[in-house]
Amino acid sequence: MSEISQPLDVSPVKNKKQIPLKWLILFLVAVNVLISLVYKPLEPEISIPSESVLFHVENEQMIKDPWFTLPVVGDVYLTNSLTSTFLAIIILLILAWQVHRQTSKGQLKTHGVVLGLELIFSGLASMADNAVEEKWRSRIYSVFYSIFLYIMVINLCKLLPFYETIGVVHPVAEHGFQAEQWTSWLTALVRPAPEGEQGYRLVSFFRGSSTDLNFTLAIAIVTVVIVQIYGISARGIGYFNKFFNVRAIIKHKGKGLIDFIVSLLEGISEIAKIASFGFRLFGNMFAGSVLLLILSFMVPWLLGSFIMLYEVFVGLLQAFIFAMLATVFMSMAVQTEENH
Amino acid sequence: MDAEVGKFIGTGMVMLSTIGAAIGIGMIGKAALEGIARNPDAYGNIMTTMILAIAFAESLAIYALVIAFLILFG
Repeated sequence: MSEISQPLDVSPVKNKKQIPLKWLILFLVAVNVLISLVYKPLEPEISIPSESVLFHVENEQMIKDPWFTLPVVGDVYLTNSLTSTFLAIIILLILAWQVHRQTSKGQLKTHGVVLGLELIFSGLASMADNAVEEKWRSRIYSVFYSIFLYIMVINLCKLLPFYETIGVVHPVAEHGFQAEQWTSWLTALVRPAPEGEQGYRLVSFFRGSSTDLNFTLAIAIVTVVIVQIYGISARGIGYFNKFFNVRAIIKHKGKGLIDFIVSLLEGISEIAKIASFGFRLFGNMFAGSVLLLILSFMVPWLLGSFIMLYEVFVGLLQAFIFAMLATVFMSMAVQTEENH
Repeated sequence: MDAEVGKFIGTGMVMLSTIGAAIGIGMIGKAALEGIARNPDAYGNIMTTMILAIAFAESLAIYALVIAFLILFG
């Protein structure tokens, strides 16, 4: 502690009116302790499927309202992971607008968030340069950066304070929470409902998108389809030789049969890629949110902040791993057989 | 015996499969450290490859974790 605070104290341009950060942190910790004494932490309710934000209550039962109906697919629900995906897209659009504003007149110097993005992208490029051929870099890196930025923004959105806390309440039959009316439109769920009283549950407006299997599987399918498209555009019709190795049978007759059967397994491994991409991201992020909920229920003071810090790290790491694996698969798909 | 008990026993048994992933990640870390100790200049390359290899090994443990969550909360 002393090594860290030492250089701060001797800095000549110290603003005397500003409250030091450590006192602010100490104050927030004290508020945290006091609040957790008054309002005991609630046992978390964990649901794997994301919940629809639009619903109506009938006979004290929640009935989901569809957002809109498509002819073949059926009802589409506005789930809380979908709303947070929209929020992430809005944040990405603001970032894109900032980049456009700072570089549209051909300026080379950037500042603020655009400079941060430049740093991130140059760091990512230096890590992926070994894996990708020079010729394909511009095409592969565009997908690499997009995937990383998208997943990173979605994972970091969980830091926003209204995630998984603000929403609409609805009555449930059992295991509900007691609702305390604070103002005419603001209700707080503060303690478990006593026996024989009506319990309520919360459906939050926003929930981390990558804790929903639909989102992670969708982005995994898109990635694997892009890998196939790049493979076909690099090697033409010969790319399918990877899945149905007819060339080996023609070349070696009977002995080529083993090569043919092995190549059939390649097709299965493409499907396994979708599963491994989707489940890895979902499992890591969902495990993180469960850890955060359960540990901050058991230890209400301070620990949640450190778990949150760890979650930020895991979110960035998973975004990097997803994007890096996609890059490696793409660069493997575009390699021609002579280069092996 | 309650049906709930079976749920918890099943969850525990599913999570036993993470032993394999743990051994795999340990071996990857050992190999990467040996490589870095022999050739410290290759630190960056080895680190990136190591993180990717760990992600592959870890994803198998994550399958077990997903199934454990499905048993517990699904």
